[in-house]
Amino acid sequence: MEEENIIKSIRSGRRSKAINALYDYFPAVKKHIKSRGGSNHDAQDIFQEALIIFLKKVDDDKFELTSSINTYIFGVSRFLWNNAMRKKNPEASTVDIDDVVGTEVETEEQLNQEVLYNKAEQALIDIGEKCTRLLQLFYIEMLSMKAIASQLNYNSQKVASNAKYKCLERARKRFKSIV
Amino acid sequence: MNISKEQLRLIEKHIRQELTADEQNQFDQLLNSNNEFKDAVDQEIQLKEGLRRMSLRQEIAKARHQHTLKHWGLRIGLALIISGAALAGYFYFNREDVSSIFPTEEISIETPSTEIIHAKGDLWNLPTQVYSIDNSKDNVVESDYGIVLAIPKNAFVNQDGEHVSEDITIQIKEAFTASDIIKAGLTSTSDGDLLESGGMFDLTAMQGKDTLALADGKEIYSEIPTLSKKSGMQLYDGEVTADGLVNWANPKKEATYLIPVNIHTLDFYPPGYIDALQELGYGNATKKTKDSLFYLFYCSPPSIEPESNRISIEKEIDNDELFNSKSDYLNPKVVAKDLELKSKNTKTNSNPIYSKHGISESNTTSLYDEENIYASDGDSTAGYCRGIMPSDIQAIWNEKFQNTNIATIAFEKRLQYLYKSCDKTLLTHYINHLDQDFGTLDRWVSNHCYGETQKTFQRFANENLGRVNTRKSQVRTLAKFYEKKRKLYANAAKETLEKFWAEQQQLDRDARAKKLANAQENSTRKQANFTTEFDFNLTRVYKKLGLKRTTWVSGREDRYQFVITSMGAKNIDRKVYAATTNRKTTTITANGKSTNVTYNKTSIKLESPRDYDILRAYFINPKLFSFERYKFSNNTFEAKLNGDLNYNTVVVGYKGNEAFVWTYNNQSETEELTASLKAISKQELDKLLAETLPKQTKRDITTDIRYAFFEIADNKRVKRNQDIQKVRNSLYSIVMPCEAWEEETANDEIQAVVDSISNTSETFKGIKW
Repeated sequence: MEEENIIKSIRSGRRSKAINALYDYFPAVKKHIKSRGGSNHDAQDIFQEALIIFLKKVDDDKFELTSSINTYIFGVSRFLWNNAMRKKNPEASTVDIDDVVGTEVETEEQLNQEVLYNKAEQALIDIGEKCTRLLQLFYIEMLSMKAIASQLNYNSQKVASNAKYKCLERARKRFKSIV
Repeated sequence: MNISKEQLRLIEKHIRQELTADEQNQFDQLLNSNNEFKDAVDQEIQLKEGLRRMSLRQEIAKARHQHTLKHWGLRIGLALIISGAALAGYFYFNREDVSSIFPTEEISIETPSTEIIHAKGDLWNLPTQVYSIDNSKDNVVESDYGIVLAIPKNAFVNQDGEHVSEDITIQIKEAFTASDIIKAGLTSTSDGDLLESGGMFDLTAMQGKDTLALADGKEIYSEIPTLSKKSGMQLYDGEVTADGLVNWANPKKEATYLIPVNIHTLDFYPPGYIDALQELGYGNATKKTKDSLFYLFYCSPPSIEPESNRISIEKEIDNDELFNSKSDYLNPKVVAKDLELKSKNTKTNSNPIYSKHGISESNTTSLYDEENIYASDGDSTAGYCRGIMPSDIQAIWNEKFQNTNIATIAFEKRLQYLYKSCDKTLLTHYINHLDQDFGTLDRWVSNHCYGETQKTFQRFANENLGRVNTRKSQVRTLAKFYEKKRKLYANAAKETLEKFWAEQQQLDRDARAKKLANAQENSTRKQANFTTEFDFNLTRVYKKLGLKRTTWVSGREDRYQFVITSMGAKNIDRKVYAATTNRKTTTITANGKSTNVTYNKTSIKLESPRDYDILRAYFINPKLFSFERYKFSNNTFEAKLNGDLNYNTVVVGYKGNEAFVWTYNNQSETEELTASLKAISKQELDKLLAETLPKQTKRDITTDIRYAFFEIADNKRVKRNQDIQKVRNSLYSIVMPCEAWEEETANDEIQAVVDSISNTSETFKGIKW
């Protein structure tokens, strides 16, 4: 798939097709990470993280890609891996994000923001599947409480609202404890 | 965080972009003026981002799966080219379990390629991955694509067939993508037919520049990753044809190897055995205990039981209630302990009381002695029983059969039905063919049995399960091992139990003799006491009444034979006799005078009498032949003491081996006493008794206490035997289902005869005799 088409697919909601195409970039990332002491598993994780960042970027209409997608994803992956390694071993040499990704792509601050969101994600995983599903329906899929109540088999809208409040509280507490 | 519900609602609306203009103003103001509010907003945004990431991650995972599937759709056939003389099989198993196929201790796991060589000029125009291995160890190699090779130690030999050890490399080329396959110039043709391929790889072992071959009998096992497993995939060898192409030949079916588990975690007991143990209170017993109970069943004619299993122990007088008060030996654990297999020839004190009191320990049991297993040849128990015997199971449920078909969940499942088949040959077939697939074995079994069993094994056969990789030499050794051990274990169980019951019979005989002797002693003592007390009473009464006692003859064997010289005297004697016998205060009038024979009720209470293993209360007067015992009932000792005799009371208690004593000089009146026993060393007790009691009495009390100890121990022994028998009886029909079935049939037949007789009797009812 042409790079432009990938972006179009993402923006038009056909993300699955786009991701499918993006996975062609995985071998390069895997090779890089493995050559720097990572495992297959690490490579999978890092690549997935880079994809999330990329997809979120593309969702933003203002985002314009100046490098190739391959370069972008490789750059982000490389940064994330170095970042992970740096945390593991702070004395190791650091790599300037600009050298890797190109000034126009990302700032380290932005990427670190993603690391924080990753923790929020972790907190949400910890509060249980039903809670996260409820919150996803409300905040991401923007459903009404009535629709949520019916989809998740709550007895009433009120019950669903209370559940949502409790879930959010739990997520807040959990998030606070791991940040 | 002190955020009001209203504020939370604002944040929520902000996140969902649902704020009205007014609300937006309110929101902005709060954001600028209230730090807590700002933090709450930030946090909720971060959580929302977290949720977004979660959604994306789910989408990515889903798309990735599709991507991989699509990728695999391009694949054409799974194949292996033999390079040199390498031979490979492949199997599916969890990577973590690779080590399980190597029974040896040392396994070297190779990390991915150390160098990439671009081979030139050969058929596979692909990069070569090179892995160094140590041929003297088991090795596991994982290719870049994820093929896992389990290479046993000493797998390779050089062209001269010599074992090699140094500088060995494994070289792998793999073509799993369409582009790689094309790049390699490979096709997937087998004798002109096009194959559907799952990928191709080339495996070469080298020492320096020499190509190595697989040693005889060695096999390399490979795991080839796949997302969706297709049935019917076969492994082909690649042959280079005259025109330089590869033809795929010698297809081999997939070897679906099974993963062995730790054999000791499996359940090889007969169906219902564990439940039955649970009911008998052995739910929490260790495997050792469960095994012990199980393995001690053997094929036998009806077992020889000691008498103690049939007779109930006659209750001895007085204090027996106390003896039974602490009946901890009812606890099945005690039985289990006695039945535990002893791996070494160690004597254990199964009953501490025996040893403490000098009673011979040699007759107590160590039920099972592995050493003895080797004492006899042949299976002396064979021939009686059908079906699977515990000794058959004991011979396979051990370390030797780890990493074989036996150590699999598949076998555990089949065994349950093999038990029901009542045909040992079916089990033996699995044991003697450990190198065969379960599929083959199941089919054989299904052809050699009937009914439900046949249906079940037909179902198993349809599963077409593989086997655990077991070396051929190991298979032969294990078959022999099984045959030998099976017999030995059966004999061991038989001999152990027979020896045990023979010993118990001897103990029963000894115990009966002791009980008889004790009963005789008691009787003699009571008789002698009575005679002396009656003599005393009579003499005293005569004196008080101013009569002259005439020819009273005492000490003769025929009791109470008097030469009566007058009617009056005879009456007196009878009254005194009745008073002495009944220990009842009686007034005797004669010759115009009256006198009393007095008996005073004396009771002794003491604290926690049931804490004592042995508790005896004696009253003693030197004029009497020996001691008398208080009777114990309702936690109180009671006796009627002769008012004209001065008694001493001695209460002796034992808690285990620790002695307690209380002494008292009785007053000649009704008394309600409270004994407070004091601990005393055995020597001091001995001394105390020697000082305060006549010699004979002291000797008798010592004998009495010793007998009490014996009786406690023996009651425990008998109870334990009864428990053992009870447990064995309860388990018999489960452990020996095939025998039990025969027995039930026999019982049914007997019952039928009995019924027919009683029916006949019915018809006789109408006939008048």
